[in-house]
Amino acid sequence: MREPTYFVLAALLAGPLHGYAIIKRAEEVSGGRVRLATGTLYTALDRLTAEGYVRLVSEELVAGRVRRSYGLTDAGSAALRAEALRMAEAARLVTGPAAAHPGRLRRNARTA
Amino acid sequence: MTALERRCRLLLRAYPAAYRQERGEEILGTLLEATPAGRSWPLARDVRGLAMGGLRARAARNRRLTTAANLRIAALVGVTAYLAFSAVALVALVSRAFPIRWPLLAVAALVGLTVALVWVASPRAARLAAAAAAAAAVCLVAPWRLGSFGWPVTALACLGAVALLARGDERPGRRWLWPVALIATLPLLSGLPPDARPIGSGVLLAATGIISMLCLVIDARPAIATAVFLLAFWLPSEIDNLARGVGIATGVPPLLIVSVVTAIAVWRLHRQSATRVAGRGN
Repeated sequence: MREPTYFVLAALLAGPLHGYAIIKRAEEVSGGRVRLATGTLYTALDRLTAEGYVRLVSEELVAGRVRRSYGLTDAGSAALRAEALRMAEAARLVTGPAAAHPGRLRRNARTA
Repeated sequence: MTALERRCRLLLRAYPAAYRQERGEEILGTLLEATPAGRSWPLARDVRGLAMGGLRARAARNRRLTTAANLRIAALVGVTAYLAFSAVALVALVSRAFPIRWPLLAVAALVGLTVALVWVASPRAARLAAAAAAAAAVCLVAPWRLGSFGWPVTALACLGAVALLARGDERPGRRWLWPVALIATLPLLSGLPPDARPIGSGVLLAATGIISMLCLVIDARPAIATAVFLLAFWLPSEIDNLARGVGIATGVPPLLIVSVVTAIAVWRLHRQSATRVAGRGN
């Protein structure tokens, strides 16, 4: 899962949001690192909707324009959690106790 | 409408018309909100994002059709471009002669009708018109001895290809009309001074080729259609040369370049197409 996709899904964890709110929330939860372009956001939303990770929750008219809100599906929540666990595992390799004892890490790698 | 909104709408044209109709206003609203106050242009990353998003949305359209269906559309556009070119060339030829050769004009009209029916009528009507034009070409053009075997043979092959390729639900969309119309104007360049004719036709063919190559990343079909047209364009002189026992006139390098580009385009098209039919599209 690419980083922008991960943060689009993470932005929707707290509840459904519309396009601009997703951009702001993704920037917030990534600590300002991920600044989604509008085109990138909608490409990601199209793909995630087709994959069943995101669904259209509501439609309203704001200043004469359609504003759609999107929410996470159960499959989207599961995919996000699985990706977070995978990244945590990967991070533990470097920041966990094994990283403090490189010899043990090498032995573990040899016996694996 | 503010200057910012006008520019945003212009950028949204990167997306296909059907997509804009469905999502355009929603994306525009988000884009306007995401642009800091006081700016008359969207942010650079949004300009880039919209251009890329538009290209991806355009590429996604091919994925509704299989490789075979996409190839059929590309080949159909290539042969109809050659037939449109031939119809206009015949009319230009007839208009310079006196008395007017009505049989040639009738063949040109039937060939032109076949091209039009590919776009506006059912595949069955296009097939019937192609068969009628082929029969007329055999009966009416042969006695006139155009001084070339090549053209009648190529035109008959292209009409036969229309009869074979025009079937099923898939037919070329209206956006395919611009290259066909551009190519059909080639014979009209005969009205230019003799020195300017090769330059004019060279510019037109180069423009079609360059645009097709630029489209290759998102849609390989224009490149394949251009290759089919070029092969049909070269075929009459090659047939005449063979009949006279002369070698290849076009030259091996252009044929090799077209063959390599076609092979790359078919490979790209296979990656851009669906593995099975998912619905209608063009």
